[in-house]
Amino acid sequence: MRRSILGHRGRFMAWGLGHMYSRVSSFYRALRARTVAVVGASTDPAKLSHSLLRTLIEGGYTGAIYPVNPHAEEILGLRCYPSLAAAPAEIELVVVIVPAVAVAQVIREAGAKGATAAVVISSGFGEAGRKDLDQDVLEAARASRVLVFGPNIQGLGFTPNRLSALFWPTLYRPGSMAMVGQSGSVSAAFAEMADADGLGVSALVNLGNQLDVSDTDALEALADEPSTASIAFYLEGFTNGRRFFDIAQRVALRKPLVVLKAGRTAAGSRAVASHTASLAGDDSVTSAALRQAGAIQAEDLESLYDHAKALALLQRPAGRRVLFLSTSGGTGALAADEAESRGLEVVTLPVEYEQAIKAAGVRPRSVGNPVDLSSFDPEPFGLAARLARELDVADIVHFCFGDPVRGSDRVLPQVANELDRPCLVTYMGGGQVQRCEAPLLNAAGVPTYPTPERAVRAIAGLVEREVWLRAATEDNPR
Amino acid sequence: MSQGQPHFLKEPEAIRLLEPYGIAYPANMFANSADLAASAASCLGFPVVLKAVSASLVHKSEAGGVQRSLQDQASVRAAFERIAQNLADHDPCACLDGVLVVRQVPEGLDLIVGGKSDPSFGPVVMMGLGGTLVEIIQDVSIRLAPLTRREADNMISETQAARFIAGFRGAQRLDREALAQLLMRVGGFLSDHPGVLEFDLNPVRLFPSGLSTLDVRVAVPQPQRPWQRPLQFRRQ
Repeated sequence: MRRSILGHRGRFMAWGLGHMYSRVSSFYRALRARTVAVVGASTDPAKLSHSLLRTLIEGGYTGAIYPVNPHAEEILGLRCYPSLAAAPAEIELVVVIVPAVAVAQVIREAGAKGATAAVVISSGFGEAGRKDLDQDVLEAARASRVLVFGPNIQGLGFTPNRLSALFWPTLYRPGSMAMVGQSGSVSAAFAEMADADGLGVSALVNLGNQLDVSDTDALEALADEPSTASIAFYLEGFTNGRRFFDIAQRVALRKPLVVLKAGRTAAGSRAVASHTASLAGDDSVTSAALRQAGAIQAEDLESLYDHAKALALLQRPAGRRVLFLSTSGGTGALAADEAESRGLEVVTLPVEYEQAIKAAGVRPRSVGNPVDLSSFDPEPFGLAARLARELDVADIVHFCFGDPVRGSDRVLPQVANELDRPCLVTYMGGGQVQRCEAPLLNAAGVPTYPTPERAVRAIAGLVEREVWLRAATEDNPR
Repeated sequence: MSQGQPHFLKEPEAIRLLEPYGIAYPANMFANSADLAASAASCLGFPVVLKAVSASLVHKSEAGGVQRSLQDQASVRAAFERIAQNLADHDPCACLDGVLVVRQVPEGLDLIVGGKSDPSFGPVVMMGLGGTLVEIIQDVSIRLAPLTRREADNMISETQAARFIAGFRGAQRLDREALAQLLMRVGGFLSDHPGVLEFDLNPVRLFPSGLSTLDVRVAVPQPQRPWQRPLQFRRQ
């Protein structure tokens, strides 16, 4: 991104967006906090406030942790302080797990201690009918200039500084996908999927009741976050759809967005007298808006993860021509079928390509697309892919492994680097070899999927984004 | 403003609202008697269509409030009386303001272009294959207003209407450019008037050159009478 001569803050001021500067930068500083206090940390291992502290320590947080509990001397080997004010250093981030009625007071103390943000885990606010407590917390937050995450959330995670202020999961691996979720369990599931794949998340932001930090704040803050290559959203509703749309439209130009929208609302009870109102239901408007803003709409949690993974790891494709290189008939055929139905081009291979493959000493069983190499050795695959680049037969290379291909984690990352094209793998039926190699492939930047349908869906997302990006940059040339 | 029942503007009001946006409506005149309607018709040129103008009438054709293909002054006079009679039969309390005399346009491809104010996303434009079958076909595309030229073009491509417009089975090619312009204008209108709850141009008739809007429906929030507003006392 171009550096403004006015600097980071000046850019906001010049646009007349001074009021937004503080929110986005508070968010940014909250993620990078060097000291965290856990207010309400418990000595009882059965309590959430205890397991949160344990996750934070296990995650290997790079900063200092200060548990606050007036009734304990020491928790999990850390010295405990009777109040926030008694903590020896300046506190940057405060995790609050105290009864709802006491939260406002803690936030005021946090403000006095110089905290940037508070992660309010406690529940029992607006969702339980206590709107007055919402008001108290918001007033305290505004007065003491503290950004409030939540309340009623599972926590906040940021892997560049190994912060996992969550009751679970512990974020061990740093990654490049950010997950923003209105539900703690969905974002936790996303992080688990990434972990199982040998990848990690860069940030895990839970929104909860969205008293202060909303979906659009997270979108804006993560847009400029250097550790994040793609942003995944799980939303049940938009706090302000139009604002989300306007910001997403700008953010999508530089960072891929994937949105899973749940909670399809029933049509309003109002009698509808015009055709438009009956045809343009809430759900169809949401998908139209997301498509127009350049965000990829996920069908389910699995596709949310698949899209986020492909968009984070792969480069932009030059077109929609896909080459399938398979170890056996079945995997390639399923992939090609799915590609057809998703509007991708299963490219017809020229004769020169067939000749080149055979001249290189590879004996394919069939050379139509998919190319059935009937080999369990990664080298011929690398060879065929390199030839595809030389003859420019395809824009995307999809390796379809239906058998164990020993050594693919050694060969494919290097091939992918040379190809200068997005290249991904379907790995199934590979037994122990697959279990061992698939995470390594992912970690080396070659996304691997367990079924051809999921892989092709991810390719389709990649192409959809590319089409949007080209149209958008033609409309507003820089 | 209250978000209760929408209030539909009368058609002449709606046409006036759209005029500055260049949304094409055929030549028309308002007439509140049979004689005036007849002279308006000869002014505009035959054939004409007569459409009832009444605040209490939402679906005009179902109540017999539209009379088509009127070729001379005598049939216009007769049609006026027929409309008045039909309306009285349909709803005895309805009040007929008059009729809108509109020059009849030739046959073409009927589309629906509309919009609404989405509670979350604000103004939204919609387009689809129209006529009376629109709710069965359900083939529509949606965008948030305002639209760029490319978005308007993509909107047309997304629906089956694009195939008709390109000249289906040797039929004549229709004016896609005019439709894209209309979509952009509707987008402009809706983003300038966020208070419009629902908005229909149904049908929009597309010709090989140009297009024409045959019916306009604009819904705004029910205007509140002073006695409906909650009492407010001035603070001393």
